[in-house]
Amino acid sequence: MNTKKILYSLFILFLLTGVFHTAEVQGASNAVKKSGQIAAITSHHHISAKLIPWKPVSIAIGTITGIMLLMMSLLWVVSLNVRVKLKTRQIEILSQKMATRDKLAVLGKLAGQIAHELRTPLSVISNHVFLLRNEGVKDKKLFEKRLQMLENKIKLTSNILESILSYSRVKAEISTTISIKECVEEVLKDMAIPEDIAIKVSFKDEEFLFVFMDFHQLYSVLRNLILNAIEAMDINGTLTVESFCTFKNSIVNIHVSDTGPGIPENVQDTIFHLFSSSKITGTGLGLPIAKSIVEANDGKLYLKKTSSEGSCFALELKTAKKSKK
Amino acid sequence: MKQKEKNKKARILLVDDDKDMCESLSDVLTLGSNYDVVYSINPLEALEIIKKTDFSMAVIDFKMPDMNGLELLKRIKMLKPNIIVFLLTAFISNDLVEQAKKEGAARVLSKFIWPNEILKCISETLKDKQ
Repeated sequence: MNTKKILYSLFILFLLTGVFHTAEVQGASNAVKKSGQIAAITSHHHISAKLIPWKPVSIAIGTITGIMLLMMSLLWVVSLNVRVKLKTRQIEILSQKMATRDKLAVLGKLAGQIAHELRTPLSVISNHVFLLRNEGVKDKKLFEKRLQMLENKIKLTSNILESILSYSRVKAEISTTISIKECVEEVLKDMAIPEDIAIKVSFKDEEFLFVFMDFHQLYSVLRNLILNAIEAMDINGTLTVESFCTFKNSIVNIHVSDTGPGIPENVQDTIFHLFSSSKITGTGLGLPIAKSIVEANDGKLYLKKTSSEGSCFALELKTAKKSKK
Repeated sequence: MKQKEKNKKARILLVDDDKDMCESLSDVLTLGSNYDVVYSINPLEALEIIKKTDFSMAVIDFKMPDMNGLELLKRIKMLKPNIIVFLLTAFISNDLVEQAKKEGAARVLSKFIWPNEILKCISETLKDKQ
């Protein structure tokens, strides 16, 4: 700002000097014309018009001022450049700090969420161990109930840890050519799907429905999508799993649809965010993990459509070479 | 809502969205027939229960859908200022302890607390209150 002020001041000074000297020379010229002789006309300057001609002085002052102005401009440009570089560096440092802070915030949130998810079943386990120790085996039915609860909570704890770990190792370790049909069928076979829910499965261009990735990863992605679809339907509905190939870009498509009430508009943008869950029992890990797995395998996972008539999630993966199976 | 016992013992309300947690902790607290325990898995329902019933203590979870433990604590204290409230949380932070104390919580305890410890904390706090 100071440099700018100096430059403006110099510019105004330069203009005023020019105007002032032009007026003086004009005035002197008139005076000479009127009197017909050369006279001292600059009493306040104490300079004789006869001895020092005005025009060259004005040009000299103008030139010096111009050079000064040019130098100041250059100086200003250089200082501006330095300041821009300095500010850029400051912004870089700040954004690095913010990125670190974001990572720490995510880590903190993750730690809190993991603590909550694990401590609840662990508390239940410790309560049942305490109760078993104090109650003994007098009541066989109650004893069995407590053992069953222990088993369930240990399984839950293990599943939570597995989900967290699968998020950290999203890159496939044992990739093989796997059949989409086999994987979908395996998932459906392992799941306890309520009887009221109808299941429609269709496979088109079956010989091309093969992908090269880790079987367990594809299994967990499909399981997650199918489980979400089932949970979206309250009592009854139709679960649809369709798979087909898009030949122009060699993509295997898998669409998982439900006939539930649809995903509320206010959460549609955050369904793939970590710990974002509208379900009471949701951990907010399922969809983000599934998306990470798919992306690590150069694929895409997105919400294709959602309305009051249901939702459809689309999974796109590169097709593997045609299998001989 | 489920009531485990009905007599003149100190009455405790448990609020946690995890039903298994409520049931197991309720069994722990009623094991020695020390307390009369009522539990709810819904904070809004818990407030309705508090309006109708007198409790010596409420043990509430922090992380719950619909309403978190701090908000529930605030509302419980507005309804019945004399109820002793324990806040259970999986992740204790200084901020949370400070806020909970400010709202009137007697204790902020880790969600993973051994049954013996929570029994001890409850009995000591109730004794101090008497």
